[in-house]
This record gives sequence, C-alpha cells and structure tokens, in this order.
Amino acid sequence: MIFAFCKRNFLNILRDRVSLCFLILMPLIFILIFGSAFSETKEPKFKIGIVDKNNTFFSKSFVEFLKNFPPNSPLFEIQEGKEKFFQDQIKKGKILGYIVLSENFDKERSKIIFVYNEAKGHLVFEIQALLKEAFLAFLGKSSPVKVVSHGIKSSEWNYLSFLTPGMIVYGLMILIPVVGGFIARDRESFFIKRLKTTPLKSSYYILGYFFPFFFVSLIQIIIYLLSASLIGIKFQGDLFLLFLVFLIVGICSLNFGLIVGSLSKNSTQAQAISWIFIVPLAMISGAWFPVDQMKSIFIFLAKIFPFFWACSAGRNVAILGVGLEDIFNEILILISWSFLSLILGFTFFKKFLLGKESQ
Amino acid sequence: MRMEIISIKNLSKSFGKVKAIDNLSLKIFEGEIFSLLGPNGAGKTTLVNILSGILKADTGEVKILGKSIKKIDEIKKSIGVSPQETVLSEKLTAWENVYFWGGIYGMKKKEIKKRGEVLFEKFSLKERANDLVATFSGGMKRRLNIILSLLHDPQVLFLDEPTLGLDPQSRRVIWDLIEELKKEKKTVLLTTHYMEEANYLADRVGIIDKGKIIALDSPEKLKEKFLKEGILSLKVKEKQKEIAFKLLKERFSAVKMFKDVIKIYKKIPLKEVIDFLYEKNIEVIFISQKEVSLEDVFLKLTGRSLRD
Repeated sequence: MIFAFCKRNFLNILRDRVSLCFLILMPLIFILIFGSAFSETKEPKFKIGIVDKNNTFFSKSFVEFLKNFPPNSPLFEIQEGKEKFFQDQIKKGKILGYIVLSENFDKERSKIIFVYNEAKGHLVFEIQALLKEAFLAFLGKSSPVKVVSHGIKSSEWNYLSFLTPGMIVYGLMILIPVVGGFIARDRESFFIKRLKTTPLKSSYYILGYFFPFFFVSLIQIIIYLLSASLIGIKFQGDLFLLFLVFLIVGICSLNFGLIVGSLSKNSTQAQAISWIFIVPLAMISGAWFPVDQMKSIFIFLAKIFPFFWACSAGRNVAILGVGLEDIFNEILILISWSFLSLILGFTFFKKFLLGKESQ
Repeated sequence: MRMEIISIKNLSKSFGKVKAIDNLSLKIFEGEIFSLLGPNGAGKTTLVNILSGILKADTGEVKILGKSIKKIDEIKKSIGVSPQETVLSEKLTAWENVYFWGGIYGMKKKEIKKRGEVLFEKFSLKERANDLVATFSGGMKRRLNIILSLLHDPQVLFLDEPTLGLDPQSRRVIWDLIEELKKEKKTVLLTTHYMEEANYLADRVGIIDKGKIIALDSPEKLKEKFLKEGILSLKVKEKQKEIAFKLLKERFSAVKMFKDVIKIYKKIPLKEVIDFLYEKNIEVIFISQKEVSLEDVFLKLTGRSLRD
C-alpha cells in the first residue's frame, strides 16, 4: 500500500517539470548570478584583529584611533593578539581578517598589512578603503599610504565557494512551496477525500508524501554538490558531514511544506504563503550574503530558524573544513528543528487535512 | 425477501446553520440501482460522503452490509466510490492510476493487471490505457473514475453525479456501463440532478430536497402517483398572466404558475381550456399536453425546477 502511494507521488513529482526546474535550476542560476554580481550595501561592523609588532606609543595610538574610527560610529570591532591566534580565528570564521603593524611601523608610517579571510573576499576592498582612510586621518597628512592585503590561501576557494552552501540551503527551502502546493493541489482535486474511502491508514497518507520528497531532497543535494564540483568549487571539509547538514535542513523544509500544505486552502495560497516566508528568511539566514553585515535584530530573527544554522554549518564545513565537533551546536539545533517541524508537520497534516469537514 | 444493503435511520448532518441532511431514513436493497434525484445543494453528495466515510453524521444510524458505519474500516473494502470530482492524477497514465488505486486497496500487481484489462476493455479505454490522463476527454476521465471505484470489485457502489457536465453521447456510454453493473448484481447508489438519468437507470428513485427525501418509489410509480392526470402547460400574454392564472385556478383548481408558464395538473381536453380562455378574452400564445417526467414530479412537489 505504502509503496503504491510513494510511487504515485514520486511519478507526479518527476512529471511536474515546472516544480523540478524550480528545485534544481533556480539555485544554480542564483549561484552564478550572485557570484558575479553581488554587492554589499548594509552598514558593516567589521570584526578584525591587530598584531602590533611595533609596540610603540605611535602604534598603540593608531590602534586606539582605529577602535574609534569614524568617531561617531566606529566600524571596526578590534581585538589585539598574536598572528597565529588570528590565523586560527580566520579559519574558524570568527574574524574577517587582521592587521599587521610591522616592526618599522612608526618609522615608515606608510604601510599597513591586512591579512583577510578569502571566503569573505568581497569585503576586502571596502575594508582596505576604510583602513586607508583611517590611516590618513590618523597621520593628518596627504602623503601616499599603502594597505597591503593578503588573503589566506590555505585552499582553493573563492567567493563562489562562500555562496554555494547558502544557495544549496536556499534550493532546499524551495521544497516548502513545492510540497505545500502539491498537497494543496491534491486536496483541491478531492484526492484526499477519496483516500478516506479506502482502507489506507491515515498515517500512511503523510508518509506517502514524506518519502518521495525526502528522496527528491537527496537527489537535489547530490545534483547541487556535483554541479558545484563541476564548476570548480572545492569543498574543504568532510563531504559526508556537508551532506548531512543539507539533508537535515532538507527534512526541515519538507516538514514546513507539510505545514503550509495543511494550512492552505488551495495551491495558489500554498505557493504565496511559502514564498512570503522563504524569500526574507533566505535573505536573513545568509543564503545570499554574509549575515555579519546585517543588523543584529535580523541576525536574532534568523537564528530562530534552522536555515541560518544550516548556512553557517555548511560554510564552516565547505570553506573552513571544520569537523563535527566544531559545528556540533549547529547540528544539534538543526536536528532539534527537524524533529520539531516533523511533529508540527504531522500534527497539522492530520488535524487540517484529515479532520476537516466540508460540504 | 430482499437483503438490505444500506439502511439509514433518522440521519442528520449540518454545516454550521445549514442543515444538509435532515432526519433522513432510507433502505437500499441488494442488486438495486437506487437514484437520489435532487437539485444542487439538496444533500445528495453529503449523504454519499457520509455513507463512504468521508463525513461523520451528527445523529442517526447507518448500516452498510449489516455493519454500522461507525466501523467504517471494516466496510471500506466492500464499497467503491466514484465522486463528483475526478480523483485522477493527470500526470500519470491510466494504467499508473489503476496500479496506484489498486495498490491502495491492497491488491497484488497481477490481480490489478487482470482486473484492469477487463475494466479497460469494458469501458472502451483499452487503446488509451497507456496515455497520460491529462490528454483524456471529460467523458474518458469520468469512465476512468468509475473504473477506479470498481477495481477492487466492491459489492456496493456510490456514483456521485457520474455524468455531470458530459455531452449526451458520453452520458449514454456511462448509462450503458451502469446498466451492466446491475447484471453483475452490484448495489448502486447513484446521485443525479438529471431526471432522464434517474428515469432510465434507477429501479427506485428518491427525490431529495433540503436534506429530506420527499418522494420515494420507482420512476413509473412516482409519475403515476403524483401526476396521473397528466399536465397541460400554457403561456398567455404577459399582461394577462395573472388574471388567466386566477381564472384557471377557479375553474380547474389544480393549477400552478412557474415563471411565465401556467400548468394544469388535470386531464382536460385542450379544446376546453382554449375555449374557456377565449370566452374570457385571454389570448393563448402556446399550449401543450405532454407525457409527465420526474422533472414535473419534482416541480409539483417543490415548486422549483431541478436546475434551479
């Protein structure tokens, strides 16, 4: 019985080309478009480190100046420390980069070295310009100053590497309107009511929707990861761990789809509700741009949902190559969300779809 | 004595303030084609939905094959439902739809194939069985809808408006198929608002209005019981309509007016009516005496047309 149900739904999914294109192609197009055309517009608060090798009154004054630059709304969040510590911090994604003030900084007074996280390379130009502006303001002269930047090249990744995990999460979020619309369409067509006249148990209905879409999410992830590899993106961490992160968030999306499908009166409504939900959520969850550039209220809101944690964990594994122990919290939150959404999805499905009576 | 297949006692169902089924009682017997005839919103679909387990009744008792509807899970394999709306998956082929629904009823693949072949042949869909349902005409979809309800060979069949929206030719094909079910001794509950459908197919007809069965018998007996004298319909000039109605009612008593048509439920020679109106200076535009139909029975009982 359950096999027949799963097969019917899976065939329906495969033959719904519009939804399939949405699921597979749209995120890929987004990766390419955003990868080349992304620009940051939010007011930033840059987390950077300073390695003061000069250790003179001059260098210390510059550090203090930088901490309060520009005077009314400082843009840098500065931490002082050793080079090795900051390199590690970069790898963990905790800071954007660090400044090195050389031994001759007080004598030369013309050069700052900036070492940055290449995964966030799109911010380098902005930070470089700000550092140069601050340095000139500190020196109070118009003589040429230089900010020499070095990206940490521990691997072969670029901005596209940063964008890809977010886009994959976004692609999986598209399961919400697809699943929601699919269920709502079945209800519109009397299909669910007709099922009630058969010996099929009600719990099988839900599984009949769950399993084919679970399988679709597996295929989605495989296609995304393969496509990313084909266009030259190299993932640093364990591919299985990356797969796991995406799979859990895929399950969350599927469950959200069950909720949307149960609450919607028709497929149009299901689509509308889903898109209203996922577009802003993808934005604030960091699917399209780094969240550390957003206002804290948005970050707070984003942290409520699993997609933020999936983007964060996905990037840490894909770009920084971290292991399970480093993203344990993210995984825990994602698993909790998958269970919570599963319970909510099943409850709503049963209550609204199977229990609702109409003339 | 005929075996009772469906037994309904004092059944009621409301949706908010709307009483869809109002204290309805009914018995349907083995091998019978029973037609529920009534306009849209009369309660036909609600009754079918209760009998097939989609809806729960507020009060009353229903037994199918001697088992209470409260234990619907025990009955489900013995009933087949063909709802008003098609339940087909348009992106699947007819065969894939058949395999799906057969699987839902726990049938084995071989069994589904065998039964599917027989039904496709009988319903003239064999040639199109491997085509996507999306390419089917309305009539073909209706036929496939009925095939799906017959797959597991149920003893009782609920056909809710099986010919709704079909052209006369397609309707006729489905009528022939329903007639065949009778030969197989299936018990069929057929809802319709086409009086000719009920007249042609049903052994007995229950005329339903506002959730109540207002008349129940074979089509012939219903016509005989309610309109044995025949009907005479006439139209007069618009401005003389009221006075003509008043005069005819005084003279023949069993007279009703529906929009611009006056109907006399009595066997009277045409000439007598024409002469009577001529004497009163009323100009007759149209007059006819016709064979009575179930539509006329419904009209007489409710004062409304089946299509209102």
